[in-house]
Amino acid sequence: MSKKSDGILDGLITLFHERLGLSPNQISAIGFVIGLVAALLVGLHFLLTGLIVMALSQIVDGLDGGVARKYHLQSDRGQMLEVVFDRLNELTMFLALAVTEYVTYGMAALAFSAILLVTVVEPKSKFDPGFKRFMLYFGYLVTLIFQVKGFQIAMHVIFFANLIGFAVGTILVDYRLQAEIDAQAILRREREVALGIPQPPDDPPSFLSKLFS
Amino acid sequence: MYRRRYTTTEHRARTHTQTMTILPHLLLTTVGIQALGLEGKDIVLAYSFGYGIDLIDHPIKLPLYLRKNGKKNEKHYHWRTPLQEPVALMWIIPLSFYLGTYVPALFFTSHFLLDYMVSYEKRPFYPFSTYSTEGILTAYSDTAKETWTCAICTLLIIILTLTRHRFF
Repeated sequence: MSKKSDGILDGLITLFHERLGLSPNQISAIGFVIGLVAALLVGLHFLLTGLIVMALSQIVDGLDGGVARKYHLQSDRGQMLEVVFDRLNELTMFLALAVTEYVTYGMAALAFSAILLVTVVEPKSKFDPGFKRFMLYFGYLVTLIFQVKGFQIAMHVIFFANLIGFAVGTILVDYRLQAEIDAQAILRREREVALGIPQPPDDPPSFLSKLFS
Repeated sequence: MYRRRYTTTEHRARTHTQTMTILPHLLLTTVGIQALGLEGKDIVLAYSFGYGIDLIDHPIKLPLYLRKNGKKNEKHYHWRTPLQEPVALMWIIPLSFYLGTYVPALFFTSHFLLDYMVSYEKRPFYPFSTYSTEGILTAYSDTAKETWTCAICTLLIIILTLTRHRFF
């Protein structure tokens, strides 16, 4: 969760770390176990209870990062653990929805694979559309209000949002690299001009460069 | 005195005069559509992934190009993004499963294979690997490869059209 949420959860952050003496990794593990319970409840057809427990697991999930930031306990291992727990929680919840026939197995598999794609590129791109478990509440509401297969719709949204997120993420990383390469080339050119080194001749104008000149 | 030293890629790019243009992509996509007997939305998908992806990809780096060169022409600028590199199959294959058709993956593969026949720098697996390559069949001139591709594709289109209309 973001730093903004740290302020809202400050009381809980203090409680979990100072009173209960829990480390960020232990809090992550608790959040993971609560997430598993949520999936189990959904799998046993206690849909609303399962979603409420999932909301609880997401709150706990937000506390580990908050504790790590507030008490300077951030570590690569902790970040990795959080990502693994999050993905496992999503996988079990998607499976629970497939078992109870709220979504098809195929759509759950596609949505989860798209989430995995964003997970592998996000450390480089720093871009995550964030359409994951939160979409399931939307699915529940849509089911309730419109009497349609809301969770299946949510899976479609998760799939597309994450697929686009992955494609955009790869482009962002490449764009930053190109910007760096270009900046170095511009700098090199400026240095050579300042030193009086003759520059290579320009390429002959293309159709487009003529058109825009 | 001309003192600038080019990298191998820059040097090769300047010794080869052509780039794979719109025509071979369009012709190869048309051959594929005819050979597979595609219809309806599959034709749209074939042209989108066989050629249309170029139209989305190249404008992405336009702001960077303008910042570096203004309105001047830099013939071998690195216009490509991962959108048309093999790494894009990571999202195109799941999309193909979602759509229930092999067309996007197949025609996208044909697109980048044609691109890889032209000798300029490509980063096939970026951002997961910094490996770069100049492509395949680099010993032959780009002009020759493009001409042969166009000739073979045109011939195939004629044969397939005549076959469809039972001229043979």
